[in-house]
Formats: sequence, structure tokens, C-alpha cells
Amino acid sequence: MIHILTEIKFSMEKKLHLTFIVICLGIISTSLSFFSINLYSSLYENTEQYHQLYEGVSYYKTADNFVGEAEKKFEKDTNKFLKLKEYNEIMNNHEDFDYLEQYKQQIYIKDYKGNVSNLYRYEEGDYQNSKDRLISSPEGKEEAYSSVKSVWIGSNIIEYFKLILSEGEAFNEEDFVWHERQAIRIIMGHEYKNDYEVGDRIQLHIIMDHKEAIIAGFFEEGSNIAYQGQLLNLDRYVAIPLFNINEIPQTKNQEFVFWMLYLMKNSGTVATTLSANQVQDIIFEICNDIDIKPAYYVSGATNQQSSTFGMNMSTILEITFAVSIGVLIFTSIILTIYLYIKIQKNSRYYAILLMNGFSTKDLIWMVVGEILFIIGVSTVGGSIIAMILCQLLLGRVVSIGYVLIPALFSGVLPFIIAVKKLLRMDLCVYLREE
Amino acid sequence: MLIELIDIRKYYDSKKYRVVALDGVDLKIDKGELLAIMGKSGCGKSTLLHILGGLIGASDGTYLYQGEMVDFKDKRKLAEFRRNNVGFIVQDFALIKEKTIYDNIELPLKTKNLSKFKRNEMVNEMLDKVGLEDKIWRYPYELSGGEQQRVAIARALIHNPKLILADEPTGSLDDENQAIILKMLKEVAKNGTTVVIATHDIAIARECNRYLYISDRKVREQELI
Repeated sequence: MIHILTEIKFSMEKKLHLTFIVICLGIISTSLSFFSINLYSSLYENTEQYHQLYEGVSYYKTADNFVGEAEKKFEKDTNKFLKLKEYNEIMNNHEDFDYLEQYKQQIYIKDYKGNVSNLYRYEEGDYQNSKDRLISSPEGKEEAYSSVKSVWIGSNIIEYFKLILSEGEAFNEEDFVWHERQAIRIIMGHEYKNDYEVGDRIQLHIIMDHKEAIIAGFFEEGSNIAYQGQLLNLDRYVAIPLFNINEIPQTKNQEFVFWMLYLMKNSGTVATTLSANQVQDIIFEICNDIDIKPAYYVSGATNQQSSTFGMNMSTILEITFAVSIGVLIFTSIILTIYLYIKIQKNSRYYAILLMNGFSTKDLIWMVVGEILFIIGVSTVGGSIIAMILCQLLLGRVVSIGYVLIPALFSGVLPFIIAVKKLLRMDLCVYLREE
Repeated sequence: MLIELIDIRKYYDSKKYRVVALDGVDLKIDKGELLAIMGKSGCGKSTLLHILGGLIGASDGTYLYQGEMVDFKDKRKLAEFRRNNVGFIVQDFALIKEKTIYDNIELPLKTKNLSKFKRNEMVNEMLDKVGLEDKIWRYPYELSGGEQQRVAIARALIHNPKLILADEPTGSLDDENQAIILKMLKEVAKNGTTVVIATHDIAIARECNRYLYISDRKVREQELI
């Protein structure tokens, strides 16, 4: 085996610049293919995850696209709050679907008396940090707050999911109006029932601010809402109203609170019989009219707009697929030509090896080794670049296993052609030629 | 007896016609024999040498080596046969120009399970024998034709083969170098290695123990004139 590896090294060193060019091409094609497969997986994985039918209705999570530069640009928009408010109103009143304002976001409770099972990230097993965290009071005194699971809900959620309270009373319209200095009303899940009572006043820390809350009631055991493609059991949750703001922010603090509130309100769920792409089209239109750029996206829709490229995702997908397949085929052909010419040019060298004890199998292994080396280096290099691209543009690498697909694809043709060429050659002819 | 060929035939088939290279060759070669095969260009000398060396298979017939049949269909065994028994020398030396003299001579040892130290020892010993010890790290193009052929001989002998097949070994050399190479091959034969030389030079053939002539794609024994 060592003699084969030595000769592979020797053979590749002979035309190092050519090998380098082929490897570079391989890296480009692998990274492009890997990225486009990940883009595809990321889009369609979302489709599977979010397209959940519940009593004949599809629930699609919507979210903003304010990432990176887009976020900075929108933050500078002096009308941003009004735009978000208008978007929210249109969504809430749209006749083609029900818009459900619901957003999971932990809150902090001072002197928490409930079970550890209600603490934030309890199910994930790392809830220790959620307990007794020191937060400065408005007077500057450090006090112990615990982070608990909470869902912020719009005014139609209780009615829509037919949520029943075992004790106390549900939210009314007034509870959804934001008053800066007024206590808010909250509803707790069933598992809080032994530790708190209706009418209890507790101190909360929400959206970077201290707020007094009155417990309005407790949900019946086993209460659920449809959230991000799953049923969310509310037994361990605190429900907080997603307030409507009827005033223009006057201070920096107000601006921040209103901005956060509307980001939550607008990252709700659309309940409809329409497809994800149809909902996305409607949202495009709304955002276009209000001038929200990039538009809000619907998880699972393949026509959502990329915050990075400002283009429709399915168009981006088509382009990246077409380019990567084109480059992959081109690379495969170049690799084939490269090997074909190399074998032709190396024929005398192969004949010399043959007469010095090498077997035809050794020669085939040498060619295969060269293909494997080129593909291996291309795959590793391409994967690293693709992983960086995926992290930057998709936020994560969906599947690393797919990386072998372009590698296999680009290696098959050169392998077949090279081995066929080698087997068909009468190498003895080359022993009499220089 | 080292080799016995019985009714060996070699055809090259294309879609339209068949080219007959050898047509019923019977041949016996003894151990330590220095044998010359003569004939016109394209008569089949090289083909016969390639069959003897296991580089190509015969289309028909039997090849017995030390009484055992050589199986042309088993490529792996054929490579093993070459590796263990045969050394080749060709007219244009067939040296790899990008490899040093050391690396060229070492080549047949690479397929054998030998330590680097042992290989180094064998190469140095062989270079000493052919008088090229001072050229060890040179490249072939830095050597004269005669020196290159001595390197080729060293490479052919390095793994102690029982059979040396030389295809026009002196064809590219001047008289002085021709004499040196021939002397070397005679010495090799004297030491018990069978040497088969394909040549069209009658002077070379005269130096050999036996002289064969290929005509009409058959081998005929000839008296030296």
C-alpha cells in the first residue's frame, strides 16, 4: 500500500498547479452544493415543523426579518413604531385568517413560591440559573427574582382556544391596555394553584422593567394552546397580556418597551386554511403597503423573503441549486478531463511501473487514490466554507451528512472514465516510445 | 529448464480484422542461458518478450515457467510473477525522468515487503556493481546514454530475478557503451540468470549462446554464420 501512496504523491506533484486548480474548483462546487442542500433542508424542515393541522386549520408561525443590517436600518426609521402598530392592526383584522398573538418569553417573579417545575428551562434540565437571580429594584437594592415560563397572549387567545379558568376570571379588554404605572393582571397555570391565590399581588420584572401584577385566576388543568406546531400545555406557565399601546412613545424607555411589545405581538401565529405560501403572499403585500422591509416571514413558506439577500427564498433556492448543480457537473467534467489527460500523459510511467512489479490493480488504486484525494480535500475545504456560510446566512448547519452527495456525484464519472481508460490501454506500446 | 512455450499464439483483434503477432511459437529456454531473438521490425520480437515477462497474455497456448503453468488471466498472479522473476531492460532505458537514479533503481523493491534500510543497502550495492555510486542523487537526464542503460540494468537486477528480458538493449548506444552493456549481460548470464535479448544486431547475437529467428510469426532456430 505504501508504494501506491508514494506513487500517488509523485503523480500529483508532477502537475501540482493543475491539481491545485482542480481542488479549488472542487472546494467551490462542494461548498455551493452543501450550502444549497442545507438551504433546502432548512426551508422544508420548517415546513414540516410548522405546518401542523389542528381541527382542519393550519397554524403558521410568523416572525420579523430584522436581522443584522436590516435590523439597524429599521431601528433608525422614525415611523417604526407606527408601522409595526399598523401591521398588527391589519393582521388582527384580516378576513382571510385568524391572527393569534402569542409569544413565549420568560418573566421574573420576586420571592417566587412556586414549584421548580415552573422555572424557565426546567424541562431542559438547566433551570438552576433560573432560580433566585439578583435583580436591582427601582431603589437600587438587589433582590432575588426567579425566571419562570411565561406566554404572552393577545386578547383573542382565551376565546379562540376555549381556555377555561378553574378559579378567578379571564382577561377583559381593559387588561390589554398598557398603563405605565398601573398593576397588570396575569393568569397562572394549574401548577401554581397550591402556592398562590387569586388576588395575590406579586412583583415582576418584565421587558427590563419592574411591574406589579395581580393574579386574576388559574387555568383549568390541561389547558392547551397551539404554539409553533405543537400543543403548549399551560399548567406550568404564567399568561401575560400582550398589551395594546394607544400612545406614542415619549421617552427612550417607553420606546424600548413599545418596540419589544410590538415585536412580540407581531411574532404571532396565523390560523387558516390557506397554504403557508399564500399567507406569505398576503404578508408581503401588507408589508409592502406599510413599507416594512424586509417583510415578515411565515415559517414553512418557501417564498419567504431573505433578510440577507432581500429576495424570495424559493428564488434564492432555485438559483443556488442551479448554480451548484452547474458547478458540480462542470467540476466532474473537469476532473474527468484532468484524469483522462493525466492517464494519457502518464502511460509510459504506468508501463514502467508495470514492468517493475506493479500490478494493474495498483495502477487503478493510484488513479482512485488521486480522485479520492482531490474529492477528500475538496469535501473538507468545501464543508468548512459551507458551514461558515450556513452559520452566517441560515444561523445553523442543518445537515452535515448531505456533504457526501456532491462528493459522490462528482467522483463517479471521473472514476468510471479513468478506470475504463486505464484498463483499455495497451501499456506495453509505451515501453518502446519516449 | 526455466521456460517452455508450447504453441503460443498472440492475436490483436479489432472490429474488422485480426492481426496475428505470433502464430504457434514453441520454445525452450534453459537456466543461465544467454539467448538472442532476432527478426525484422514488427516481426513479434517484443511481443514474445512481453509474453515471456508476463506483461501481456498469450491468446492461446501454454507457458510453463519452472514447470508450472503461467496463468495469463489472473492479473494479480501475473504481477506477482513479474515481481519475483523478471527484470526488463528496454532500448530507451525506460527511466522515470522526474525520479533520481536511486529512486529509479529502488522501484522494483517498493512492491516487496522490505525495510527502507534493506532497500537502501541493496540499491547502494547495485550502484556499486554498475559503477555509478557517485551518481546516486542525479536525475537520468544528467547521465550519458551508456550510464542510463547501466541504471536500467541495475534496476532490472536489483530484485535478483531469474529472467532478464532485454529489448534492443544496445540500440541507442555507441560501440563502446554497447560493449560495456553486453559484457554486463554476459556476466549476469554467467551467474545463472537467464538473459533473453531481442535484437536485430547480428554482432550481439554472436555473443549469445543461442540464436533464434522470428519469421512468419514463428520462432526458428538458426546456426550462427
